Amino acid sequence: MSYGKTFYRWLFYGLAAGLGLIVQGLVLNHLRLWGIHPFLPPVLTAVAAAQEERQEGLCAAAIFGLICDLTMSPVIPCFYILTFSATAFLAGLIAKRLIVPGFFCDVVCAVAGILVNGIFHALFLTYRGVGDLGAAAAITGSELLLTLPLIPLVYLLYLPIHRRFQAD
Amino acid sequence: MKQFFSKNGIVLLAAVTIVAVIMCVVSAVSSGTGILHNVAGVIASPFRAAGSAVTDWVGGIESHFQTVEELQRQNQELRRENARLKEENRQAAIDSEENARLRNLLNLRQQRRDFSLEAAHITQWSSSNWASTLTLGKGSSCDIAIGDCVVDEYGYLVGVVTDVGLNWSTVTTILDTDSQLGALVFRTGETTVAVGDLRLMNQGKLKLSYLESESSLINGDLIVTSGLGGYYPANLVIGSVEEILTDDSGLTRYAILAPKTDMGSLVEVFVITDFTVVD
Repeated sequence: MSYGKTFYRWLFYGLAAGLGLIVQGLVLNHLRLWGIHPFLPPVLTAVAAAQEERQEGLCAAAIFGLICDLTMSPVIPCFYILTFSATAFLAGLIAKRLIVPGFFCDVVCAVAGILVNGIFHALFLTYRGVGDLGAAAAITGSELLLTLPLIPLVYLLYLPIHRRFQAD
Repeated sequence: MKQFFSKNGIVLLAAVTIVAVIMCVVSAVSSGTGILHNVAGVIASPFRAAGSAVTDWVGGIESHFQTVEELQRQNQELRRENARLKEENRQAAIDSEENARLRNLLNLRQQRRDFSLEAAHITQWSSSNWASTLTLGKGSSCDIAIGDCVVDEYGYLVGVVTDVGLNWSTVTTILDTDSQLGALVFRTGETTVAVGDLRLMNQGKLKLSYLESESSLINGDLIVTSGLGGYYPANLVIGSVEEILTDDSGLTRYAILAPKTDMGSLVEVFVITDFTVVD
């Protein structure tokens, strides 16, 4: 695939992810259960990385992480770059080596993304001496349960982009 | 242009990623608000303000659906509270006069609290479940600085400014795990520390640690800032004691605090940009 098509493909992925961030900010942040709300960014990263090439997925994840670092309040300034890069790496590994790409694979990658996000948060908070593994596990578990129903929506959001550029 | 992207798209993408990572690492190791972070905040400000306006508009629509009965009930409660507060205010005025006379008799300086307040609209709440922060639409251009306390319209403590840009600032609320404040039990004068706790943060509560073994703390006790060290103003209301517990070791006790401020309903807050407290 030419560089131009690659650029436009990721531009569409970027717009879709931007839509996801808007939904997160305007809707999901207000839907709280057990004091927790669904958290879409790791899913947006993981599903895109699982559907596309590994290196491109990594680059896109790092840029998406940068945007999240600048617009959200991460525990350290480059937190989401690190987390989403790790998520994209893991998603690429799962999609290319372990599970046949498709809906099930994307769901597994998204779950892995949420877990990576939780593990990284727990690690950094523990490093800073304010961590509590039990509480971290509870937050990650709740976040996973609440975000799980949204994974098919992210899959459907990305699917037309993936198909459009795969056909080319 | 199209040809340029056709030839250089992926190289450009990789270059942007590398630069982004380098700049973020630099900003992580440097102290204060980095220039990249500041510029990004300035650029993001109008979008945050637009998002906030949309959220407020949606909230406004939702409030229209409140029933008349509910509003009447609230009105009655507010009238009762208003009458009680008026009575308390009258008593407080008498007490103040008496206090001033006694201070004069004892040659003590007059107690006073002078705050310079800067009103600021909340433009964004933290999207993460792991932190409790909010972004304000004002920054260093309005004399807001790192370490400034933030209160609501009733003077209840909301948090402390931890990051400042030109026209934006980030407030770490008292619920966040990074929050640690010198506190005082209003009734007994006992000093302690109010800290954010990961387990309690999402329940909208915080922890009161380092309680003395002979502490006479009881449920409902009011907790205020101690002001020790002069870093934060004294007597800002943090919250009230909800439960007193013993930790897993069985040796020390801690309390669970319910903040007085209603975090969920905050729209506008006030930053204490300067203060003078004479006790």
